[in-house]
Amino acid sequence: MALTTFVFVVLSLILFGQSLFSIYLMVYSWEQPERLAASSGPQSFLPPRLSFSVLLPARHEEKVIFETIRSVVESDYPKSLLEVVVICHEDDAATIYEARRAMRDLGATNVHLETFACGPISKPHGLNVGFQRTSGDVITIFDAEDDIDSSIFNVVNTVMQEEEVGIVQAGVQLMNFRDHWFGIHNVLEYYFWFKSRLHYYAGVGVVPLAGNTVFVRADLLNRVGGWDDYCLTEDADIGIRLSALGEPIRVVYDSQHVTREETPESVGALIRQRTRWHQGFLQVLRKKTWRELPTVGQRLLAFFTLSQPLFQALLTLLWPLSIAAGLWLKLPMSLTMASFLPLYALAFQFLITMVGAFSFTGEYRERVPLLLPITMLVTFLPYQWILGLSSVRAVYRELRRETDWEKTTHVGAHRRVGEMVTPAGTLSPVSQSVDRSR
Amino acid sequence: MFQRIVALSSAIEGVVTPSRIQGVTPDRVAVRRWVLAHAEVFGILGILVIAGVAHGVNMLHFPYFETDEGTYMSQAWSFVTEGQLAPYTYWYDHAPLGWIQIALWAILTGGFYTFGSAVESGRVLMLVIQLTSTFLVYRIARNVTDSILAAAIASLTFSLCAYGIYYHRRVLLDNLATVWMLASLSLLLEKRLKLGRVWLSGVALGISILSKELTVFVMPCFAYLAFFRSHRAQRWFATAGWVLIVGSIVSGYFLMALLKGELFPTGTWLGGTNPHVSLLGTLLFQADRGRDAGLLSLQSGFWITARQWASVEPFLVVGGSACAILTLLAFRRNRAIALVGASTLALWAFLARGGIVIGFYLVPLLPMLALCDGIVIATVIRWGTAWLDSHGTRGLAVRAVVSTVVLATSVALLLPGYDNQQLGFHSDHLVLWNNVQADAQQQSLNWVLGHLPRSSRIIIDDYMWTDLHDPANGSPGYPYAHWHWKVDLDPAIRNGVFRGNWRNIDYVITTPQMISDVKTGHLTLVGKAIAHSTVIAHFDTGGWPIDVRKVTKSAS
Repeated sequence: MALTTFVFVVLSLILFGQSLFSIYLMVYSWEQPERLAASSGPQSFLPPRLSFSVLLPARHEEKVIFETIRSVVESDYPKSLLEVVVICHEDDAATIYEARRAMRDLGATNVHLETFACGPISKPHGLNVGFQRTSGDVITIFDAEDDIDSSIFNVVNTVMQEEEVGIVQAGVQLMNFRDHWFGIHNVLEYYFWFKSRLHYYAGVGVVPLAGNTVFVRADLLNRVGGWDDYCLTEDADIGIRLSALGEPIRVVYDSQHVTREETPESVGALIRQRTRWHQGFLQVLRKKTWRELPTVGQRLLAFFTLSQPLFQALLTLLWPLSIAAGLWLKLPMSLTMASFLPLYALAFQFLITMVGAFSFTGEYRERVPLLLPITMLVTFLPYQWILGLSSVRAVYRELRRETDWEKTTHVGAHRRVGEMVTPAGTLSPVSQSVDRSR
Repeated sequence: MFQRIVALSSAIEGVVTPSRIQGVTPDRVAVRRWVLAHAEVFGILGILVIAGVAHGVNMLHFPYFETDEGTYMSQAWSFVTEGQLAPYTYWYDHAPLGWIQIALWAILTGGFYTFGSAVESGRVLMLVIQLTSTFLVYRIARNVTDSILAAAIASLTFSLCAYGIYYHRRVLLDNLATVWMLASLSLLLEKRLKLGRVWLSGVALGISILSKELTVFVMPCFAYLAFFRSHRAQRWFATAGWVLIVGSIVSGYFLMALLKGELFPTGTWLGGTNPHVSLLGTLLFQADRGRDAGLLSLQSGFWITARQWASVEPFLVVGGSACAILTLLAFRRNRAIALVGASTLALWAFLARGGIVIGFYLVPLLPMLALCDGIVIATVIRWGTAWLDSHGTRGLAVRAVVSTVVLATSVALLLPGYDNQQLGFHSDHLVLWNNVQADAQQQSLNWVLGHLPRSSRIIIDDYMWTDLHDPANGSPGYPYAHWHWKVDLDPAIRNGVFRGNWRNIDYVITTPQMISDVKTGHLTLVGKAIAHSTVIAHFDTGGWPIDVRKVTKSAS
């Protein structure tokens, strides 16, 4: 009995400590006004000097690839300093067709299509293939469903020159918080991650990069040897490896210049996406490249972050047990009170999330739905359960070495109606079925 | 003004010590410069020394050990030794965090007898608290006005007022609540407000409220202070978080009662049918105590006590309250100052609510009143001497003289307090440092330990509870020594130990407080025991006589 008590109390305290740390990261940027100012991008731009190569890996993205290529081509940067490499697997006829159509219709000479037939059908392998084809100073990645800001290249061009950094992670933001019940929490996750949490990581010098809107100097990519073909989260992996080089990584979150994305279209899709991310983290943890980070603090942070899925899986499985223990174990009053600490931390975390929701809607000038606080309250815990379930699933899959890529489908839900209208007169069988769910 | 003095002195130095003078070593110049630059630190240290001496000298001998002090020490002892919130049934008269802190102090200092008897060990904690409070008062005044004069007036009048020293020496929950409230306020007035500081301030206020509930009345003022002092971008995170933190900590008290099944009174829907103490029941009981019209009727308990306070401490009570009202006028110019005043008035509002007002209730208000005094006086002086700015060195000197005179006058205005009849200052103005009335209580304790058998059934004043139940030298205690209030009013003691019969009592150790309580509280059992007893030992070292009485159990 004493062992159960001990485990129960220790678990409560660990949960509490972890919640406190998470809250600290969530409000990291807001802690001091200077930090908030430093988290955003430059107000004025330097003249374009760096050349950018955009890698656009795509698989079954025929619905959205045209618009994405167009937004890159039509961005506010000299064409001579910009090239786009679209990467597809040879058997992905629909996406290849759409890509070729874009190259033809937009008259873009700086867009190339790379196809590959051998090797694993994964995003990192596609990136590696595309990387061979590039000639720019800075390599960047965009996903096929991304809604890119037209000034993003100017932002990165300025930041890289002014601050002399070789790696810039710019902000990615989910926008469609009204479409699904989990939408607002998903959106806020990204908001807190790119606006606050990632800046802490950058300060420590360990940055798990995102899969897109990341800009890396070509020579640095060569030094780390490109991406890991078999990793499910090749972005986090390369982030750790680049951090191990000791290179400073700058994180920029500017609501004017974020890349807009959409939430997964269903709970199932969300779970699959999270399972992949969690499993990827476990893969990177296993690889032990994080051991090459220079300082102990960095290794600790990397270990802590990469092992989160394990942690979360454990807590998700033990959670019902701990409730039962709380009700039936006869603990002295002080220990019972201690076991309530995680609950208090959770309530505080919810409050921060709520304030964040208003901060987000204010920053993006979105209308706040009347019942938002209530819907958030009701959906808060279910969302945490979904994340927990994904981590359990990830641990299970990783233990059984199931490493196939469960892809999320994209429908362009974050793009506003009007942007999706294809040029009049072009009737392609695919474009007519474009989803205009916005 | 202060920086200009420093700069001026350095300039003067440069003139009067030309390089051609031999023998002036560069070290002395550097030291002098360092001392001047850090002069304020020395000033603060000086104030703390004054406060420490005024409070600390003779603190273990005067004033007498009051019953409440013994109660809190015994409850702290019970928390440490028995893991309970009180040796008797805890009936939620106060939130327990106050004596839990005393318990932590005891653990930190190696037990309850490190500094003498239990109450004496508690009084040493009060010294530490007083020094901290004085420092915090200085810091608050300094941050909110940027004026050393304000800080000096506030901290010196706070630490030297007679009423203050008297009650600050005592182990009272109000002292604990006060220091945490000041800490909370001080954190909110930092020059550069970070999110973590605001939330820490919330933790401090939560602890303060759970030490003594009345500080909850400053919550709205402090919340608003947190709101507008934080930067616009972090404002809502800061304030919402602050409010939730304070609320969460306070909710812990209710959660504890709920988990013990003692939140709702017996007989209510959620309270169950078996008789038990309850938090809400006690809250209702206390709200009803001494119910009168409060602020609205000049004959109410509040006004009687307030008039008394005003007559003994006019500078702080009358002056401070007037200054508090004046600070509200600064609302548009300097909101922080206005909120300090508003918090003071909020605490007054609690006292004026129309409930019981006991003599020491002014304690949490004292630092706030001192702050209001200091802030307003310094601001007025600054305006009045602003024209001296254009008069160079001479203007500076005049200003320094004026500030010193004002400071001295403020401290001098505390003198009426040293004539306080009620607290015993009338016959001897320096009674705080001369009188050793608590020695009689020490002597009686030692006498009991040396003469009375351990199995005796004794009625005691709570000041000796811990020392009798768990003697300092490790010898077995007196398991049947009980506090006079519990003897009559706690069924477990009245019936369980004494079986409702005064003949079952062997000894009564009376204090003037016990005798007074017997009359006002109608403690019949104790009263009968005293009536049928004779004095076998008498101790009086300064006006607080202790009688050890043996109960004669003859047939009459």
